[in-house]
Amino acid sequence: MQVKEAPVFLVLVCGCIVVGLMTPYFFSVSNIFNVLRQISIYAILAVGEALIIITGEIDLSIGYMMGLCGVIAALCARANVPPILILLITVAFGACMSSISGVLITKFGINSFIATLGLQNICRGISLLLTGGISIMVKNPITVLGSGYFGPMPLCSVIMLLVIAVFAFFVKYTQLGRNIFAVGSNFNAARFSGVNSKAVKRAVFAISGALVGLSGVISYGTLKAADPTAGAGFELDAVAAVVIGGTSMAGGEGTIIGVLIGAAIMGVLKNAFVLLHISAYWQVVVLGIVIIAAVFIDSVKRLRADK
Amino acid sequence: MKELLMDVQNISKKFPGVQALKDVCFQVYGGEIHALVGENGAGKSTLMNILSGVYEQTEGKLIWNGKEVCFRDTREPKNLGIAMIHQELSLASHLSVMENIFMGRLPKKRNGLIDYAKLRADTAEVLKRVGLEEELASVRVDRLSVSRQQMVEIARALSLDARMIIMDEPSSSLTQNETQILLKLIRELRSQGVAIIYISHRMDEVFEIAERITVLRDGGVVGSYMAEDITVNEVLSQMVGREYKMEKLHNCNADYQAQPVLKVEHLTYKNVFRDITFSLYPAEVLVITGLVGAGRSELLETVFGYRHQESGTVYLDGRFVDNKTPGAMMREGLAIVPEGRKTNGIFPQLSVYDNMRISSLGRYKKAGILDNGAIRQEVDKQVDAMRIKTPSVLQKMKYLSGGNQQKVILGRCMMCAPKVLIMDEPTNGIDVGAKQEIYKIIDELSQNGMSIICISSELQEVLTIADRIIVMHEGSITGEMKNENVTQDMIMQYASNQMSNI
Repeated sequence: MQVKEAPVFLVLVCGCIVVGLMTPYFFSVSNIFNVLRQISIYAILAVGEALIIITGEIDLSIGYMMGLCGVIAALCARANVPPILILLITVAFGACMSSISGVLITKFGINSFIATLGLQNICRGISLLLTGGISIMVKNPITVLGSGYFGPMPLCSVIMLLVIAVFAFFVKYTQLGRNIFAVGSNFNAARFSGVNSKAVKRAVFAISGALVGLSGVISYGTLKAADPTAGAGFELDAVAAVVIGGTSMAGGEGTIIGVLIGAAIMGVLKNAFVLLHISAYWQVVVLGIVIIAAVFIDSVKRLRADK
Repeated sequence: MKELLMDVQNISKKFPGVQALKDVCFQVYGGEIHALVGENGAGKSTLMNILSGVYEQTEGKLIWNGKEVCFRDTREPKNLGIAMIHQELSLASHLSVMENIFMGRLPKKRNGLIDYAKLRADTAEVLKRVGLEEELASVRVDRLSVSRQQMVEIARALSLDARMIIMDEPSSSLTQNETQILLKLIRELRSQGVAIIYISHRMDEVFEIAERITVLRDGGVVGSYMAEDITVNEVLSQMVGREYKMEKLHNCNADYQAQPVLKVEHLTYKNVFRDITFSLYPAEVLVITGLVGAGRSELLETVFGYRHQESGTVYLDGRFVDNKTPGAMMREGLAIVPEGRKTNGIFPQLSVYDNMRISSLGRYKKAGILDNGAIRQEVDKQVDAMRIKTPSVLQKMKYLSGGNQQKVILGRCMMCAPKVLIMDEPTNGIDVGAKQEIYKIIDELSQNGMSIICISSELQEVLTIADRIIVMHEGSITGEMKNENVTQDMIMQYASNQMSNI
């Protein structure tokens, strides 16, 4: 059971060694924490996305929704809402927004790709309407989540590792966690086994939304400002981390630790391009290749297994 | 004298582990309506799939028009003029009638664009042959009734100059009136010289139109008869085979004096079944049988909360229960081994362990956290009890054999400790050895006091495991009897609603 993440982990280790040999600065403590900080937001988003993908759906709205959640947090901060309430309000807001997708998909049978694509645009529009397109700069103690440190470690990375730990436990040791895999593996069989398949999907969207809210607060905290276009394209980074981490787009399979490793591989890659002074445009190309390679390996394995 | 069109000589077909057909011979003449009958699993579909090029035979020869032919794909028979109309229609439902009829061979103009004028004219011509109005040519297929869609399929076959049309249960989704229209069309086609192979369970139709009847049983031809030389009862006896009663597996443990464990009253669901009332007694094995499409699965799925009845009520231990969802019914003490292991039963990518524990997770929670140790013990216990052969409980489900998968699903139900166990075709597609084991498990469970409802189409199986038998025909119960001195053709007559002919 534990070996599942081994191949991707090996890829990560090899990648680190290669980059480390090319530029020794890579292994410095400050750089490693730098990478950890950079991957924090989309690793958290990717955990929610992974749960959704495991149930056999997809969520494209999380990027702009995170931007909107950041805006909500900043607006609350401007209204002098107590910091802890800001966090709660934003997390609840995210959960409600994502639940819209959950309901559209399960109650009305709308394809998740389309439903969440629509919601993505709605979120972007609302962010722009609320801010007039201009970042909201406002100081508040809650921004510590995005810019604070826990000892030498960025606080957002600590939060990310906590989220990973909590959800790694969640999928293994709770009934809902196991039901997520059952629903993704065979929707009908899950129903015949007494699982309320649709409710499981709705729950997963709500959980993912809550994580989007948390990411929104962190994102606002990083710059102490809420940019309405923050999070553009993050949904694709999240999907990439999920897929590289070994979660199957067909549903029913995947691990949370794999998500962390997938996000780390992407983080190392992005970091390497910066350290090696290679054009950022190449970075985008290579990232695309890595994503395709990850899925390619997965489907080759699948084809072999089916023969 | 009619010419010999298709001569099937000593055809055999082997699948891994199964001899689907052995040494089948039969002849089809031009302009003949030839009915092919047999129980589910007798080999009719395999034979038709060979004639239409889906499978290649393992042994034997096909002679078409005096020449030996060998079908490696489905195009070859089509080119020769053999068309197959499947039970499930194969039309593209959001394309128009004419596009469906000429799919893949739309007439083109010289510049490569589609010649709609010719398409419309050609379509009008074939539509006339099947008795449809030519205005239908540009109507979307999903706007037509099922019977008209079927006519479109037949029109497509005719447009290919079909000389032999194979129809697999063509009337199964038609009303009485629509069936009459279909039969009229079939006679019409015969007069045009087209040969029809008509596969059906419905004896009244078979005897109404067929000139010749061939009976299949267990993959072999039992006999080929002119329709006027044989009676319905003789055909039914031929279908089920030897007139002996199989040894019952166990003595009846049921307590018919006690209050029923499960009672279903006046249950109705859409057009699938109507006003169904029955009871299940403690420790009873009740078998519901009938032909495919009689509404048996839908009935039990409704009781289980998977579907929602329009009217009717379900009682457990004399108490009304709201059968709203499968989850709710499982909490009330029901469990189901559903029909269709692959589509409704297994979680292929998940482990045996995950597959087995999924229904009973709620029983092993401490403060919301699963006690995986305790679950694992129970899973191991069920793997032993069901004699499941797997290298490890962590093996992925998809790598197990059908029989072992079925036992895992049974184990899943057992982990919920149900009061009533529903099994829908539990031995479908599994080998004989595993079948015997499942019978044995059913027997053991009933001896331990479990009440079981089982759906089965296999008459041998029905007589082997049942304490009591309910027979359904087209959504209604047509027969109910204790399993004492019941014969296979008695059941067959109830199942095809032919009691009047006795």
